[in-house]
Amino acid sequence: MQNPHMFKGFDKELEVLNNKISTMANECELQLIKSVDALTSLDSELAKYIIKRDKIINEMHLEIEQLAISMISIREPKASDLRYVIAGFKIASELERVGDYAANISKHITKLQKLDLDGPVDCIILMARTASKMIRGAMEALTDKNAEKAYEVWQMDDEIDHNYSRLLRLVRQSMREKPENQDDSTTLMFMGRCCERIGDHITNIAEGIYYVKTGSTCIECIEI
Amino acid sequence: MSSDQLTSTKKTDSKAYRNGKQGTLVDRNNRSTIGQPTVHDPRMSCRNVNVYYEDKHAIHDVSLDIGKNEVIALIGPSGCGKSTFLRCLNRMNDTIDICRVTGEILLDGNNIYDKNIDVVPLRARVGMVFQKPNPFPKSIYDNVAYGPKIHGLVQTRDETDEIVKKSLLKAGLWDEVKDRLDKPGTGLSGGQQQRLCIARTIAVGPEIILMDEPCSALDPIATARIEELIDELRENYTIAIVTHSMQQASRVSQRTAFFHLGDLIEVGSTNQIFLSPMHQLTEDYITGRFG
Repeated sequence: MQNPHMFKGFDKELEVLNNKISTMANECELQLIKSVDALTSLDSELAKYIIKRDKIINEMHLEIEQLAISMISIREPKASDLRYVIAGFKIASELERVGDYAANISKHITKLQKLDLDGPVDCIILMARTASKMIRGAMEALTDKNAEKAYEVWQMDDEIDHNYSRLLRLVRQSMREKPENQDDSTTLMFMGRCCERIGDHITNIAEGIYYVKTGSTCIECIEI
Repeated sequence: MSSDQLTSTKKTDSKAYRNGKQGTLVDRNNRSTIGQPTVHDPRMSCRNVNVYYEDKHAIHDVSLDIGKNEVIALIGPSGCGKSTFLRCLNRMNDTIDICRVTGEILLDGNNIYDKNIDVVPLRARVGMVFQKPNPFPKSIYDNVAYGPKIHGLVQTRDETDEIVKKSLLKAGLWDEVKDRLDKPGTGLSGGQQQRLCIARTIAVGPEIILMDEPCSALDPIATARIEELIDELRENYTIAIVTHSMQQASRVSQRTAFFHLGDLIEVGSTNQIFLSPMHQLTEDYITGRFG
């Protein structure tokens, strides 16, 4: 159990930092879910809305960076507090990239002619669902400073990688069998790549949370 | 006692690091020393040191090595015993009648608390710089020359001149005072006076320098000069410094020892202590969550 800081203001700032990161993570998750909704319904209006909303995530990123820099320069945190602020700074950057990839998925929705490639689309939906679960899990791990939970999130990336491999296989098959769908196949492959990269960024977040809790950057070194 | 034997006693807890992989800190109630109290090449070795002020048990069974050419910072809240422990290292506690020290403090394999040890040459080998600069009411020159003269280290005026110049150079004060060596040492600024005290300590050729909050009476610029000096002195001397400033400990030292209520709680590299301490009490103290 952590004692309160001798300067209450610092605890308040840590709380604000945590809340800002959680809000940004929620926003990223929402953007990702909506981008998949826009894909399955080929809703170009929703896609435009997602692209526009990415600006909010970028602003959140800057706010978190500024707060973390100010906390380091003014409060000079040490040990777990320092690790938390440093990780917060890093997590915000990773989330910003997650937001960018969600917007990138949306940018390519208008390029799709029609949606008769069920297999690859299913893979993208599964990858996005896993990524969404990972974001929620990572935020729980951050709030609870839970190394085991961070490790669970880190491992979930294997599911995304598995579905990405499946997607590539299906797309290649489709390109051979239905050459007329070549453009859509390429677009779906690109979207799958976006989801795969999102998974990688969330594993970086999980590593950051593991570092907050343990002071170690080697999440594979965990003893379960 | 060899370092291998020491690590197997109750006073160290190597399991703590394994716990650290899960991020679980050693419980506040665990009073065993964790970390690395021993080093491969110690300049001074303290074993099971206990200090009593009459009935009050001020230091509890502390074992700690001070490595060659390292700066070790002793940190902890007021009353934790860090200054008491520092003063054991050159028997400054002998000046307190009610103080009793048990255990061993070895310098070159000899226990400095043996009956046949003369404290005057001991204190030349293990010099001390205090919280408040305390130059003698003498000239700058005489402040530095006094020690070498009484220890018989110089015979002629030329030898004295040389040792005074060398000591003031090492203390980073020569350029500021070379044209007024006959002026009183007390006329210097606080930071200059503290550097004069360091020059005075260096003049008798110590191997170890003990510093008890040497910058607490100085402004940030004078503090920075002393810290820079500590870093330079490390090439030739071993330094143990007591400080209340966490920033200072992290800036000047390579190892840090955290004391709490007379127990040595944790020792480790300064980087590890300030980034990932293993004991909850160390974490509480350095993060400012000490309640």
